[in-house]
Amino acid sequence: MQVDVQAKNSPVVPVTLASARRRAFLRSPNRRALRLGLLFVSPWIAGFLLFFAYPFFATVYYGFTDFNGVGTAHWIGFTNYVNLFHDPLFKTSLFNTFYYTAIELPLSTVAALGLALLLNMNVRGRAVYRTIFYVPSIVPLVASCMIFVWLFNPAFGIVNDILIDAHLPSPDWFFSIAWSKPSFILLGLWGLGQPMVIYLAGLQGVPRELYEVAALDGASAWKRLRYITLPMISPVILFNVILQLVLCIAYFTQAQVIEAADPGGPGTSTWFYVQYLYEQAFVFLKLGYSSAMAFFLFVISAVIMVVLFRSSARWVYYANEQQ
Amino acid sequence: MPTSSSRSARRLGGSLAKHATLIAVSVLLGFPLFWMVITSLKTNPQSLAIPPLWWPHPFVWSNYPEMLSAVPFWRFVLNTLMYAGVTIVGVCVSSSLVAYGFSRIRWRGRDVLFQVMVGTLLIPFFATLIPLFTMYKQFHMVGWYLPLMIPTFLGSSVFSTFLLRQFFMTIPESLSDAARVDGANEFTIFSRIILPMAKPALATVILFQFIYCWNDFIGPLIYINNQVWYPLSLGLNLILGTYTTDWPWVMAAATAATAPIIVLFFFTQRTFIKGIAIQGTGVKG
Amino acid sequence: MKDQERHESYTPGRTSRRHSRFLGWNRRLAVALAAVTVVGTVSLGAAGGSAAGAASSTASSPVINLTWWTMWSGATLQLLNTMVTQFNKTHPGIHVTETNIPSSATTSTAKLLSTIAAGDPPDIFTEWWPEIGSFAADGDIVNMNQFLTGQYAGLEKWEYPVAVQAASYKGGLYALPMSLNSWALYYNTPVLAEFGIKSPPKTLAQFDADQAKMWTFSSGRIVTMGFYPDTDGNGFQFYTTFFGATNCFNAAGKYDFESCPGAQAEMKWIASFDKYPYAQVMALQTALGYVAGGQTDIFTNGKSGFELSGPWVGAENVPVSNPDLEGHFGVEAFPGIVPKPSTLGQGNFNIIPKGSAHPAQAFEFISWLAGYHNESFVGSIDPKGGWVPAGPTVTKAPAYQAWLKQNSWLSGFLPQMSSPYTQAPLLTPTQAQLFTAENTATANVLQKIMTPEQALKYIDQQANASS
Repeated sequence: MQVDVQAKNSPVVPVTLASARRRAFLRSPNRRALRLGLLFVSPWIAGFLLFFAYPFFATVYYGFTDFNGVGTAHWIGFTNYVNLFHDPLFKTSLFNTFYYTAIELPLSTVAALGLALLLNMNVRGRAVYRTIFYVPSIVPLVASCMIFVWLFNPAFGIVNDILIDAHLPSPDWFFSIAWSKPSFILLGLWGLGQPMVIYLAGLQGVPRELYEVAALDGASAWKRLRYITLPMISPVILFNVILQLVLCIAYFTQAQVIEAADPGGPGTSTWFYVQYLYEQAFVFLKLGYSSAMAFFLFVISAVIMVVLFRSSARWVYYANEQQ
Repeated sequence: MPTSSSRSARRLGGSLAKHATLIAVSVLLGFPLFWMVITSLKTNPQSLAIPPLWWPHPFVWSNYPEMLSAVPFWRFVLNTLMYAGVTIVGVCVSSSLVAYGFSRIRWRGRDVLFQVMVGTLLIPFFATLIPLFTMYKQFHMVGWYLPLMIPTFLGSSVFSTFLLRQFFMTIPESLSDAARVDGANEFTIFSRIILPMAKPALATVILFQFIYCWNDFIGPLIYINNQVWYPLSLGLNLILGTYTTDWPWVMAAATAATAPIIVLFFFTQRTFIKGIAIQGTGVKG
Repeated sequence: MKDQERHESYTPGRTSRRHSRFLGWNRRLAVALAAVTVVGTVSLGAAGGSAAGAASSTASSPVINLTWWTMWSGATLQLLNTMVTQFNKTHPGIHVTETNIPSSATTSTAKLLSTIAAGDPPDIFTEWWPEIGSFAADGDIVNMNQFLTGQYAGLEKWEYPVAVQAASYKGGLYALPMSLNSWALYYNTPVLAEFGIKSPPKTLAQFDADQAKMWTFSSGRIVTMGFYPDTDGNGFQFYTTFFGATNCFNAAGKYDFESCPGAQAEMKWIASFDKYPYAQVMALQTALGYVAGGQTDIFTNGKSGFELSGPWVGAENVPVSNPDLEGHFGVEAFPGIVPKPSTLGQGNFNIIPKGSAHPAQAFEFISWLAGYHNESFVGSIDPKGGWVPAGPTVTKAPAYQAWLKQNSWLSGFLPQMSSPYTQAPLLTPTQAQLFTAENTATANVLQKIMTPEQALKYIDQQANASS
């Protein structure tokens, strides 16, 4: 059909030299497509140019200065970046954020998908179950942090009560150097409502006929999951993975609330990157340094994101693939 | 050959297993919620009791009216609703247009620009706060919700655009092509064909935008200066004491802030979880 | 043709009927939502506008409007509103509007800094972070020396010396106290009696011995404790005056805690508590309320024999969180190695951000708030907040004296304010780094991550980092 459309509006052009290609582009409906595409996307482009470009490039610029937030910024070249690499807390916070991301991202993807699969089942009262599974993600942050601190309290929390009764090791959770990050990961897993609901919506869109055909062919539940469900919801998987990545690299508010008595503690185990960035910017008033940190993080996460998008060509299946 | 009774026994057993799993997970996920609500019904000393008190006698229901009357609660709710309402309109209008452009038209540089858009999420808010704020000040937008509302009309909600784009991508190209063959212009295809199909996706976007506004703390904190205009998230902070932490009130505030969303979610989940029934139902070629 | 047919029959029968019902519903819902939004926005705008209009109203001479941002909320906020109302009543040419800036996780500094950077800050800001040094060094706040003329010429002498010391940078006065903090030793009389301690300790050695008796555990968990030097996030800095270690500089003007004998003694003393389970204490403390600034704590909960804290514990925390403790606690000067009494000089300070539209009137307001030429009013307010005022004459106000008589334990807090051993940390550009480093060092020493020597070295290193 695509070919038919082209044939209606212009002669088919031989694609040989670069200049010929350019001429062809300018004359062909591809130019029209470009104009149309840009037109539809123009609200975002306007917003980007108006509201994002200046703050972003200003921040990049400040990373090369000694800006303190209010005064004039003096150019100091790469000094901030050099200092970064000699800063032990920079390395620690980078490690902490990386640790958190590397564990939370796959775990939360599997967990959210698992929960969604559970909720996709045809059972009575599933509206109730769905609501219960979803609600933790909308409890206000301070309240949810403190609920977890209470329940996981090594002094009197119910979790440790149960563990002790079962003769299992009972760690100090948020107040132990080894267990603090895993405690935050658990907190994150409790609030998976949003990705879970999106997976659920995706699952509901998988046509039942595919499952019926597979069942007729005698495919097991695992095979159905692997060869039908996952590919069919892969667009939604990509979406959730990217968004979780964004959340993980910026993670710090929960740590700031729970470890307020000993920021970054115990030891330096919960100093997350953006938390250290925030401290440099708004406690020490070192905005040049914090801007350098921000840009560094941006570059690393942009690389990860591009790799994810590139790889998505291989595993994400959009049902409208051009034949 | 399995008999009908053994088949129904298997079905019953299977259904029991399903319910058991669901109930087990519900207990795990719901227990902290129970703790939140039960603490909201305690007195302050009770909430600090060690070992923890699981069931206070009697329930201190008065925590709720006391907390709600300590601040202009309903004013804050109205403010939040206004904030949510306006941004929902902005997001629906602009994000659907932009998502369409990133998915239903093939043009050069589309995917690169799309990745740039998603990439804007990668710089933390606090990193750009000073130049961002200074810029909004130059635009005379500071003091009220304008920096939070106007950008949503210009596709600022990358979350919504991304989500809609993923759903649009799963609609077969053949539908658009058929309409193009029949001479429909792109905007007609967008508004008459694609958009109606994406109602569940739009409903999802609306719900999440609402919840985002309901809980948004940092944005309003930075840009709004007049207490009268505080949304619920900021307003609830007013009742918390400076030197004492009244846990029952904190939990009551959290419950009061969560309850409306629970109700909203429970009654509207059918709309968007239903998903898009269009995917591949027999459309070939 | 065929494709369009296929489109129309696209959604299978049953769902399409539900779909069309939804279309009707959704359209109505959407219209209703839009109408509510518009009506709501317009009416809220009108209400808000009229509220703002009422303030700068009818006066024929222009009224100067001041904006005041604070982080206080709850009962304290009510107190502040009382003060603002009184000021507005007695100063017809000035109108102050107070706004609470919720500070979950200290984001209020971010908000303040961005308004200063953008040139449109509030006129007054109440700062409880030790950021005054950094702000002053960066030129973010107004030097108030220019206002210390006429009736204000005697202001600095009127204040407690430590209040001036805590707010001076390079000879300029940069902040006025809203209230000062005095730190003393709380003791829980029944708990002390339970362990055979008849009277509070008078020497440091006695204190160490007493507190050690009061630690009891049950299957690894704390039941009662004696004392722990890092509760409520108050670490090294708060004990410096008891050891003569508040301002340790070397000849070159750099921080030098490492060579300071008082600092060494202090850090060793802190390290002597590393035999107690850090995680357990932190867990107990956090669960009891130390989250992002709240301070319902282990002592108020009746689980600790001693605590170093300020008047707000007895005045606010105990009545609200644990009324059973009332009448069963006392306050004593902390028995350090330096003669008693003394306290670290710090408090809640009002600053005037750079770019404030009316700094002179702002100054008038904050000096009034401090109690200057306003002793009787502030003297009646401070008891309600459990505050120590900025200057000694306020404590002579009748209402304040009555409060002191009613609560005998308060007498443990006032002598420190005029004591020569009371010190405030001198303001420097890296004051925030110093405070953070001191807290980190304390936590590390208690967790045996650093030795006392390493901790002091760490403090020096962080605090001397070049700006």
